[in-house]
Amino acid sequence: MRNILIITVLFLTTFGLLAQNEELKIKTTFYVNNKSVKDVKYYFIKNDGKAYLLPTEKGKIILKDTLKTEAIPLLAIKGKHKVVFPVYYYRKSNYIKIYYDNRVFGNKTKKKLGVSRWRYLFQKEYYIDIEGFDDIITVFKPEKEYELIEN
Amino acid sequence: MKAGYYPFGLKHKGYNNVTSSNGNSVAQKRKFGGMEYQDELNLNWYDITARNYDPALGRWMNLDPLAEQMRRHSPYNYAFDNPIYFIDPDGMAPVGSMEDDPIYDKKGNLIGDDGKTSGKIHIAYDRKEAKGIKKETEGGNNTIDLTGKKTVTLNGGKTTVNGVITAVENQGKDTSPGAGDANLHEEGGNVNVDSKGNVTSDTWTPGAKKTGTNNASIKPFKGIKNNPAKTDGIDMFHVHTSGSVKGIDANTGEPTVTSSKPGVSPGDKAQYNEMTRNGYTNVTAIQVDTRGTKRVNFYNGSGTITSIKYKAFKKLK
Repeated sequence: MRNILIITVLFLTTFGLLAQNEELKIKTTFYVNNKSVKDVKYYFIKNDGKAYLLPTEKGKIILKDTLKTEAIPLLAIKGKHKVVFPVYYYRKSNYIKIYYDNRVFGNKTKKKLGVSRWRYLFQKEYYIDIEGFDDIITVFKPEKEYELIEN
Repeated sequence: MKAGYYPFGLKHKGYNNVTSSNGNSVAQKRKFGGMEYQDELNLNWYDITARNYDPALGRWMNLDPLAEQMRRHSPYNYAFDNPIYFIDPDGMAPVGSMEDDPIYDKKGNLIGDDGKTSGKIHIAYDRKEAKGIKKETEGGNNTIDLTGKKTVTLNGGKTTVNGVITAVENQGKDTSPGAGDANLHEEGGNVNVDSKGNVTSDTWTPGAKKTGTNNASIKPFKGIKNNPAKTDGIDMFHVHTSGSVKGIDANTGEPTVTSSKPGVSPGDKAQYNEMTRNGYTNVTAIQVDTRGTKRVNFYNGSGTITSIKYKAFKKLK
């Protein structure tokens, strides 16, 4: 009986450690005016208000699955574009798509996402499509500034 | 036990009086039209989904929910007082039991019929094929063969159309007074047609209120009274939300607006695949987008088969 208990405890501890070391790999794509753009940097925003650069591998961001929050706060930067957004259902997600399209005419993105082309015409608006989450999340130019930590 | 009925649904008496005690007591309550006979408190009427029906009077006991659409008729009459020709499978509206199954194009225009009287509605979604069908009809063919043609079929015909319309309307209302979930919850239902042509319809328990952080998908078939058989023709439909949730996201501290993704979700496709795996072979799956331009999407386990405007879909009834 004692042996069984020890084995169970050992198994659970090992399993817990392994689970903590598991990595989440999520493919991320940033579309500007319906075309995907390269060299986008993704940061994880921690409670200290700092944004930590996330490692990538073949277009996928890598996160250590030690998270206990409902969503991951991320920051994506590409040139003048700074997008802060939450990622819900990240354990079920294989991809995140970020869309930006400010064209008045021929705006394929808004049409595809069912958004009125006149809506938020003069505001920087980004649409986040997360696999596993049933909604499109619309975010705007962030109100806060984040200190970027690159390593 | 075999039972016979008068046209208005009153049971024949004087024969086949023996009821087996080995039978299913719940199933034995299903009588005229496969509907549940309510004999408790001496009611002696049928629960026909939307209303209660008294076969002795040949009258509904409740007002017709679609009374404004049939102003020439009493809102309490059964099947326009003509149960030989019309049937009323769900208490919403009488349907012609002997009408040929119509074929419509994607715009909701009637382009022909297949010469059968199974109560189905077909939609020919390929523009060229629809034109061909129309031409055949104009040439005098009223038994169009749809084999190999690109069509989607509503097994429950007008009952399904009415069910979808009701679900869209209910999506825009609170599920209960003060719930605050108008436009923020999903609605759905299903229509089953058994091998004898009996049509039953059900509404699903509405989905949870969308909060902006949750997946508030409706649970298919939750809360139904009539479990579909694997051999039934099944139309299952659900309506995505039209509203948005605005707020400050707790994780980022930034303002966000969340609103449903257009089209069929991966969960919808997975549900269809599960039904196929479980042996349901004749399923028509429908999802309705209500945000922006309303669209009715027909789908299977691989994705959307075709999509038509809700405005055109309403013309099918």
